[in-house]
Amino acid sequence: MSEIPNADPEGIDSVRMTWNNWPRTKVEASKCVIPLAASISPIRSNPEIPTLPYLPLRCKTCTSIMNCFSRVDFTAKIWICPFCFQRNHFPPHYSMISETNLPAELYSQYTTIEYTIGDKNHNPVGEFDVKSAFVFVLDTCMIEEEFEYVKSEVKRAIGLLPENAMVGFVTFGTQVQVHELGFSDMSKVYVFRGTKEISKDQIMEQLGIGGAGRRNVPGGAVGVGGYQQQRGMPMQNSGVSRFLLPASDCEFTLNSLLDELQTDQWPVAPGNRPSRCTGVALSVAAGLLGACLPGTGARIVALVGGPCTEGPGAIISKDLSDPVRSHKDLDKDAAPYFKKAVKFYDSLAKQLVSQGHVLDLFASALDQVGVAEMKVAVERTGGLVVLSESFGHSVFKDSFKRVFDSGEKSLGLCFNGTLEINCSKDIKIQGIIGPCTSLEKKGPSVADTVIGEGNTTAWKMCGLDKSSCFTVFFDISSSEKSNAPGSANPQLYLQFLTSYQNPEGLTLLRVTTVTRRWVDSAVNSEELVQGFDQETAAVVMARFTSLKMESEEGFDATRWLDRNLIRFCSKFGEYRKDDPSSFTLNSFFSFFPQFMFNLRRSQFVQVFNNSPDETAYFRMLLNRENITNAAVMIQPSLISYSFNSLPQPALLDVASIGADRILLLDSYFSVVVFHGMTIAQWRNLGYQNQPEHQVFAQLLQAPKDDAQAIIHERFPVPRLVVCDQHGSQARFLLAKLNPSATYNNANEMAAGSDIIFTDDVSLQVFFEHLQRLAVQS
Amino acid sequence: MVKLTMIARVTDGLPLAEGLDDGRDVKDAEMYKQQVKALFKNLASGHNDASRMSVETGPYVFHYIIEGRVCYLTMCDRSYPKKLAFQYLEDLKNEFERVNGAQIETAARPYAFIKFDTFIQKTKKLYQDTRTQRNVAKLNDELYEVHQIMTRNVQEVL
Amino acid sequence: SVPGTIDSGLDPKALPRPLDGDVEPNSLGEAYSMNCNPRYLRLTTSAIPSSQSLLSRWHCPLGAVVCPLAEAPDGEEVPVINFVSTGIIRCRRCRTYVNPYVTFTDSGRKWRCNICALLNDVPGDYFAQLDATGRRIDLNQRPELIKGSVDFVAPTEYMVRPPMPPLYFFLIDVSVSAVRSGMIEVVAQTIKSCLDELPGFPRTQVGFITFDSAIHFYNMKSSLTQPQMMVVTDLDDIFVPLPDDLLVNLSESRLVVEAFLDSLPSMFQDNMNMESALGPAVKAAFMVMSQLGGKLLIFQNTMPSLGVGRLKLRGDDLRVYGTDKEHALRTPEDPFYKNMAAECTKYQIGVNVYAFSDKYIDIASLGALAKYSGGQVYYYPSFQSASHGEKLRRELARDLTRETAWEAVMRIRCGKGIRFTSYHGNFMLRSTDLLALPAVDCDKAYGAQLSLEETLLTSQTVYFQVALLYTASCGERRIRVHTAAVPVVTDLGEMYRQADAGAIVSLFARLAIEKSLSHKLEDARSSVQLRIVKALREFRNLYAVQHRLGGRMIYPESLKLLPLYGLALSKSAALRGGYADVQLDDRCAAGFTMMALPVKKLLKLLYPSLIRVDEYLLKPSAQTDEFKNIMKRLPLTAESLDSRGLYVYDDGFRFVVWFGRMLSPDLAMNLLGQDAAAEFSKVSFGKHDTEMSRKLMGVLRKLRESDPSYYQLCNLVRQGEQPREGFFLLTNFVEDQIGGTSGYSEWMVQIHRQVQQNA
Ligand SMILES: [Zn+2]
Ligand SMILES: [Zn+2]
Repeated sequence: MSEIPNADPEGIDSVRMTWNNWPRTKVEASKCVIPLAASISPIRSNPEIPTLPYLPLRCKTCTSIMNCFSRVDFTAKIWICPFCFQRNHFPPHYSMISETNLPAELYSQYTTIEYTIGDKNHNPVGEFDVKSAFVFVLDTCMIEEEFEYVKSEVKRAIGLLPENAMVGFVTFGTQVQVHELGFSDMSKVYVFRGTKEISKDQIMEQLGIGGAGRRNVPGGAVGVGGYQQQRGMPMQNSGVSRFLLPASDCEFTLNSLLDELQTDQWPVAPGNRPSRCTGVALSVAAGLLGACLPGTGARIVALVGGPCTEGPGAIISKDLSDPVRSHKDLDKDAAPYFKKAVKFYDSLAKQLVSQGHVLDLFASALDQVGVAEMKVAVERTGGLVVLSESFGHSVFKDSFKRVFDSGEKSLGLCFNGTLEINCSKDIKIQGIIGPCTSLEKKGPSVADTVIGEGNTTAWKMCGLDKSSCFTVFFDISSSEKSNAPGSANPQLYLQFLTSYQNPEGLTLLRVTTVTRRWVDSAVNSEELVQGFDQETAAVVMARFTSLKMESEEGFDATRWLDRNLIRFCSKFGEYRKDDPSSFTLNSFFSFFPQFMFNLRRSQFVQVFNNSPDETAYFRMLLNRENITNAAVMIQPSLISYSFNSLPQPALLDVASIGADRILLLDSYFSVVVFHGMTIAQWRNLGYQNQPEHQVFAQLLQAPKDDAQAIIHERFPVPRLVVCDQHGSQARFLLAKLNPSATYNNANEMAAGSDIIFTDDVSLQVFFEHLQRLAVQS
Repeated sequence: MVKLTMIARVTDGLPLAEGLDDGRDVKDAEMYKQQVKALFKNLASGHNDASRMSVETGPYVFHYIIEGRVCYLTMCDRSYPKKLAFQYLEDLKNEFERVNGAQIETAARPYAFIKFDTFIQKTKKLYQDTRTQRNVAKLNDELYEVHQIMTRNVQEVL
Repeated sequence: SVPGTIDSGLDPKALPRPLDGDVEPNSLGEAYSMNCNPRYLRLTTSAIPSSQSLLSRWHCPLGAVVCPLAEAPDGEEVPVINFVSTGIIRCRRCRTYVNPYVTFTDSGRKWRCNICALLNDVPGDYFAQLDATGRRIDLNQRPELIKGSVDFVAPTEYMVRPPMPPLYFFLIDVSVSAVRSGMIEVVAQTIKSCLDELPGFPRTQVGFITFDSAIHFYNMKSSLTQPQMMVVTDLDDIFVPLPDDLLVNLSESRLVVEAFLDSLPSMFQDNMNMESALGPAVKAAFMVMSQLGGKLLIFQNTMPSLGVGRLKLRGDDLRVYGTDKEHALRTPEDPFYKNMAAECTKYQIGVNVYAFSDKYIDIASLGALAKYSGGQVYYYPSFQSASHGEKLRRELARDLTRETAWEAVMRIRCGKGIRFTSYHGNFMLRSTDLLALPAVDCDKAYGAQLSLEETLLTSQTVYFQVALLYTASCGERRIRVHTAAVPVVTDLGEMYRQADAGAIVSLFARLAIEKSLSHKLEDARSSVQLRIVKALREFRNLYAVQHRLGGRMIYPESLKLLPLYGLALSKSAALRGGYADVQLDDRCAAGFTMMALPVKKLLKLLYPSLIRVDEYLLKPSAQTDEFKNIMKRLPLTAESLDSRGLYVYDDGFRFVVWFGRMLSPDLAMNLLGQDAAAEFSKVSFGKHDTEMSRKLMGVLRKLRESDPSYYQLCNLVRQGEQPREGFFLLTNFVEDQIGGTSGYSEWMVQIHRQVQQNA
């Protein structure tokens, strides 16, 4: 049932669209039900992308970049911009250009090209050539065991950092401690109250860095300034040598500091949560980076072990009898801390974006820590997020290590990204769902209606990586002056310009120009249908639904999805009116209803089964992963292993369970290896260790290896569950399966299979309803 | 959490030692100390002969053990595990007897063993956080049972 | 004793001088042999006037100087008595402690209170039979019944909490001037060297804060390998960055404390911060200490410039001098300091202020912290560790190791009809007659004045009882009780005969310094002079007729030194001259110091000793009696100096060694080697190991040993070397006329003339 994916469905451009042929008019577009959207992974690596060591040519009218779709008049030495049709003269150094002597950017296969813009970071700070910085913000309100776990992971991370990466260290609990790593005599921290909102200026003044303040009057010889003169540093950079040091210089200091670091020492009254001032800690870290390294790629790596209960950003009271808000509370507006906290993290996000810095959140706790509130700051800065139940769990440990890995396993963390989009006339951009912030750059292609980060043709991504993915929503201009269908240019063009600083500190510009065909869907819907990408459509719908659930009060996601699916099937299905049995769908649409069925049941729509933190976490990953992975989140993949055949995809259905099979379920957040009853028995008897049962040993090993392969390349690292049929962990599989056999129809079940105790409708029932409604006149 | 720790001679209620800096985060600490002193007086007059007892007072509980004519008493939050409280007292008792055992009878002034406050303070810190591995282990210690220990209210005892 | 007279044709050589030092009067004799030693309690006269009218003719202060913890020579220690089992025996009515002057009656079953005469029951456990003379048969086993000074072990009723551990908290300025003076290094080394001797092992607690424009706390948890510094810079809203471990048990955190002290000097050696947030730093220290109390030692090198309690330069406007505003310069600029001291006192914190500066630092304001918390001000102007380090080292070590009484209160009781009305010194009054002394030691004395409540005293004897309730460093709560009895007299002459000039001068000094805080200096000086004149006139009137004195001056033998000490007082740093004569900070520091000095120490400061040592040094071998000889004091006048001689001047706070112009070069070479020819301000003793040098060092050591409360640094001065000779020595020759002041002879003539006026 699941598609065998192309080797690389995204190709050199890493662009996938819901519709690859576009309806000409706004009216037609709205009839398509599924929005016009493109999912783009702007800096995904691909060996075929050429890197050019020079600057690109820009159209003098619309500033889009010359590309392989530009028409060239070799004799006149002129190129015509495909976006605005402006004729541009080539500059003198292109004088050698001819049909047989083309620059790479005009080669038709190079729709995506990378330009090297600068070979050095533009932010040399004092004596240091700073390319990246990491400020660890470590929660100390933990039990000893957890604290030991997280400390050893931080140590390991520091050991993995490139030598020239700058490191800062902030700890917090009841109060915030900023560690002055450059102070060599002993461990030294600056302490801030946890209860008090503190401005960036106050932070700078109290740390003795940066501009204003009574202790920082220039020419401090008359008795002010203190430390500034201490090492003869330029004033605004003194913080760099005190609080931020190259990893190679402070690794020893940090290790011994971590060895002696204690958990928060303030007593916690019985029946209370520890007082934890995550909000102030993040403010202080942001202030520190803002003062020391504005504009330089830097990450705040927050390691949080519980909810913020103190000061700004608090998400819950200290009283343990007061439970952390649930979705129900949020729905009923019964979460008194929520809005205030979100507002606080929203302003933190603004500050970080203006400084160009990233917030990464590693939350490990049994209860919620406030991911839902902090989401805005993580997502807008392009930060990473990992949620696990313990700092000792592999989900945290292995994911955290990945962040600092270099070479092949590296996440390819980049900084200071901006994305600009140019598009053909009549195309409007509504906005982006994904880890970025609108730069509010107005222009003719800005749509009136906004989806996600909108009102702009440019976005900031303080942090981005190889797999960062953005969903751009388009609309068609509603202007009636639009030319008759097919008369003007039959092609539309979109150009994505992504500039960013790579891990080596180089500034690069990635230019992807794609073209699609306009079709007059009123006349020729066949072409439209052929251009439909159901996987992308499903993911876009999931992202769009999540966004609506978060931003529209009282939004009924299930009904909305159902209505849209029915409309969609009414429009694109083939049937006789009012005859459900006559209903069929073109093969380009055939999987889409099933995707929607699974989306309706998924954690993105059925939020009440999860905490708001989990929901926020799932959604952040849904929004930033590529289409293939996001599709797995919605509709997990299931592979069956048995003696008789090669591993093969199995129906995501309870019927796929068999006593003599092993199933491998990948639902993105967890990977489940499920042993059928018989397999489990044999394994328990140790057959796999006997030479005559090598085949069995191989059968046992194969899904494990495949699971490891999945885990290996995924970030965050999924939870691995190895379980047996009827075992307690089996629920991880069962929850994802279509309940074709429930206790409601137990008599129909096949031997050796399982039943699921649920009242959910099965896929079959869902389809029956859908067909009935789609054909209604 | 351990709030107060007081050690007194049972025969005459003479205070022998007390935790350093006790009761600093307790409202009405003085009142509770008075209650403890009254309790010691009652013990001296021969009431309450149970050698182990918990006495509820306000949001707190006094736990005490009497051994070798010395009463070791601690005041904890009600939510503090009884098992830990009594093991804490056992720890104090063992050390107190080891160091001062021989002079308890002859002590002739209040707080004659005030030097013991250092040990009390140190030990108290070990018991502060119930979630540490050490304390979790103590809580799970099968050998140490506190179910038999009676709990009464302070009004009944004073 | 008989009154002395002075001829009006004055022979300066015949004027009385304290060349044998302070001699405590002991004229009461056998009748009062059970009185406490005068080192603890000295009355201005050991004869209490029986009536108001008699008292009104006395003119000197009627009162006492009390030094409750004065150091006793070996063998004279105050006995410790444990009454815990019986309860302390006190009068039911007036709360007097049992003492040698109570009497037992009713076959030993009752005792009569010597102060209020109430008949009290003798508790069963305290009962003893009486012998034929009515004395208890166990008298010799009962020190409280035969000794004027005892320590009672306090029962629980005398405790509001368990005895606190000795606690030393250090607040150290680390701004650039502190760094450059070398103060930090000396302080760190000294504290480290004293760690073994801090009283109270193993309970002693210590803690540290350093500060400049920020407050640096130190986590000294015993499990750490080195301390952790925690900086708080929110000066307007100071808070404690850690709930525990800023104050630690010394024996447990010893290694961390040592590691801290070792790194302290280097840690700030490059600090360029010139600011001082003293106020917030004191608040921070207070927050850390307030649970336990203890002693707060502040080392301040620069004027507080940030946060609460910041101060500004003042006292450089000489036009203020001589006006009604002059005195304001000698009182705190900002009420913060007094208020903070009051808070400290409330929480059993005593503050000692060590001030170092080469500029104005406002001792008047800083000193209030010490004054109102029962502490002490140490002032080291222009401190440089190379030259002044030793003084700081010794005095700080003394402060850290001397026996100290903690969380103390003191009350002086006295018999019916008289009452203490005012107290003078460094303390805060908790109620009308209860002095709060959070950390008191053997070097502190307190003045008090008496008044008669009734017009006529009917009793024969008046009793005084000083009771100091305190926690000893060993953790024992005790009550130190000093008891004294004196007769009630109807004769003014007897009052004069029993007068104690030392006690009187001590009270005069305290009253005059207090007056200088609300009046001009001149007013303070003249009030002293006026009272001396009135006293002598009254005395003259008493005897003028019978002795037919004519123009001769007459004075009671007991008060023969009173005019001289009065003169010296007017010439002391606290009171002399005006704007130019003494730096404002020096003057205020002297005032704070003198307010706390015991009688002997004060008298030595007022009339320092001057001895000639060259002959002794030149003698081939020293005999002990020769040594005694050499200690013979000379009149404090330039005339005493022989230019062939070598002299040592000692005021208890510093030495000046004067090299006569004609001093044998051999001697100088022996003492100083090649340095003998060098600039004396840069020269010090002790580098040359010659016999003469050793002998001189012996002399100096001997002088220092006589009173270890302060350390005398040596200032070397050559005859005629100006301005050093004048500054160090000549201005202090109180008998000479210097800068418009009277010399001893003129002073006597003046006094004499005033006595005779309106006689
Ligand atoms: Zn163009
Ligand atoms: Zn009485």
